[in-house]
Amino acid sequence: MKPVTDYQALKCLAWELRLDALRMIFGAKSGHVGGSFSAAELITALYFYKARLDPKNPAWEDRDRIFVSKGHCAPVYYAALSRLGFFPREELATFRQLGSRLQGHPDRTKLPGVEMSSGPLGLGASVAVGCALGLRLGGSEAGVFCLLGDGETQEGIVWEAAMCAAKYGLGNLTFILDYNRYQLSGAVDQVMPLEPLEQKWQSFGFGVIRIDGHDIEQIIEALDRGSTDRPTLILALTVKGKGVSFMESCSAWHGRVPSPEEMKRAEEQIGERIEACAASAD
Amino acid sequence: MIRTESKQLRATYGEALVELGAADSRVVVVDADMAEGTMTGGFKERFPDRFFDVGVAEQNLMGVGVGLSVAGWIPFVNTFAWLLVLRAGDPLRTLVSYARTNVKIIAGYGGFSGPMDGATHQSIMDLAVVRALPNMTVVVASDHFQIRSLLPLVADLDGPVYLRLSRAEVVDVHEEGTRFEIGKATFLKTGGEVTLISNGPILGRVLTAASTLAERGIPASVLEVHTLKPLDAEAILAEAARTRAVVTVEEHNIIGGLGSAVSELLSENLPTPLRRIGIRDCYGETGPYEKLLDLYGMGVQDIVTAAEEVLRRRASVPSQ
Repeated sequence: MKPVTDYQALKCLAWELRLDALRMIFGAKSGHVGGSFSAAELITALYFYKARLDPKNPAWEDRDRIFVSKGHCAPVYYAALSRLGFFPREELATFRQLGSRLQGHPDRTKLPGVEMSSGPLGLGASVAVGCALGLRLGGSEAGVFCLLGDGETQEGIVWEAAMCAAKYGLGNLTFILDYNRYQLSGAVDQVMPLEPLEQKWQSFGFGVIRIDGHDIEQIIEALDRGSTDRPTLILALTVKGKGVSFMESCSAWHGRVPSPEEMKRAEEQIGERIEACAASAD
Repeated sequence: MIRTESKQLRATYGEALVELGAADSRVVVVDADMAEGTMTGGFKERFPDRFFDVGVAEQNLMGVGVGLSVAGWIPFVNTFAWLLVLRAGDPLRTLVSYARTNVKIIAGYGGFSGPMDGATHQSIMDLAVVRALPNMTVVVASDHFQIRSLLPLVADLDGPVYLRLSRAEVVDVHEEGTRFEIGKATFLKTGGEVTLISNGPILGRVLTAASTLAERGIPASVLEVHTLKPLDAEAILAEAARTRAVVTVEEHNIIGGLGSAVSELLSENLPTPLRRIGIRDCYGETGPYEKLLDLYGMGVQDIVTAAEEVLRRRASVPSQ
């Protein structure tokens, strides 16, 4: 698979993924919009620019391993996988429908491209550590990436995994933290404060790169920086519900489904972004 | 020939794991600061690159094992049985059972076999948990010979396996050369009037009970259901149809383990007089292993009495 290196194209793609995700959630009358929108640029840069994958051979031995630990962002994740060619785009309309391969949370046994089933929070961090150990043991050059939510890092297993990554000096491992600062029941700072996050991860042995998680260029720069002797955490500052004015930074939109009226406004707002993006690409 | 040397089952596992590691370079081992207890230390010494210690962190233990499988290895994940199914219960369900990954869960200290540490360190419920997890193959090992025979089969089986071990001192019950197949029950004695169904190190007691019964003129079959899941329904049903008197014997709560599995099968297909010998839904305590088994209803006499009772009940039930 050839990486997309045109920044403007990647920016447009992230907005397209948001529109796909919005339509999937509206169609299913269920799903997580807030955390899908905050992760759109991160998923885009990771899958379309960085990762070495083969959609025709999902089990390719030398593939990079991407673990989407925050499995509730399935809509934007599935949108990306379908555009990469892991499965047909029409199938997105089956999201959360009975009999669909597009389960409410990702199921590796059903859907090609899903590296690991996820949903219960924190688990992906641990799997990523084990996978990084295994790839290094086998002399593989492949990289391991794990996308985590911020509320998710309240789970103890994340810190068990972090200690382990540092112990083994896993330079082939990158955690990406989608720091949108809202979780299901409210602001992260109020539900269970995580700060000082940068220092916390540094003290756990990670090299920390702080970026604007909606800036494609910054994401790419961080993904490319790499390390050889220790794991990396990309602390990506994002906006929950990014791109739709009434959804932004609002924990109520963690898992709410838009009404038909709200859907119309949301589609318009994202549509405008896509048009603007295409215009500046011309 | 049956070897009569008494030895801890875990020690043989440790040796067999080294042999497996030498024979199969895909095998890696993960432990959680328990190598001295799980006996994975020999593997660690021989294959240091293929051994990972995650410290006292059992959730991560499970996740790391799963990650290693995604990278193409065959991970053997080791610690206390109760920690694997309870502390690491969600990673076990989501990443191993649901995601159907090729991870081998090696559960040490099954039943009362960590006796002196008390009830917190005894695993009386683990089989109930793993039996209810779809996709899992569940195996309970009984003796040294069997561990050596089964371990390569566990490695070769494509999918998640839960293998329950024991810290108990065990004498072999199988003839050397006995062949085992995962999913197929093994007869240790055939043609009895009553059927004793069991697995794990407690089989030694079951064989003693069978001898006692024989002395009283009651020959007993002994069927070892080492694979608790998938259950060998064919063998159990055929044997139950023949004797119509069954006693299950397990080192586990009578809820959810072997006794439950056999009861469920027979109730649906062939209602049969049955008694379950096991821990009767209570916690154990600190004490010598063999005494605990006696005290908590798993004595040889308990098995004998149960066999006599099912035979009396069979006599009072009109045959179908």
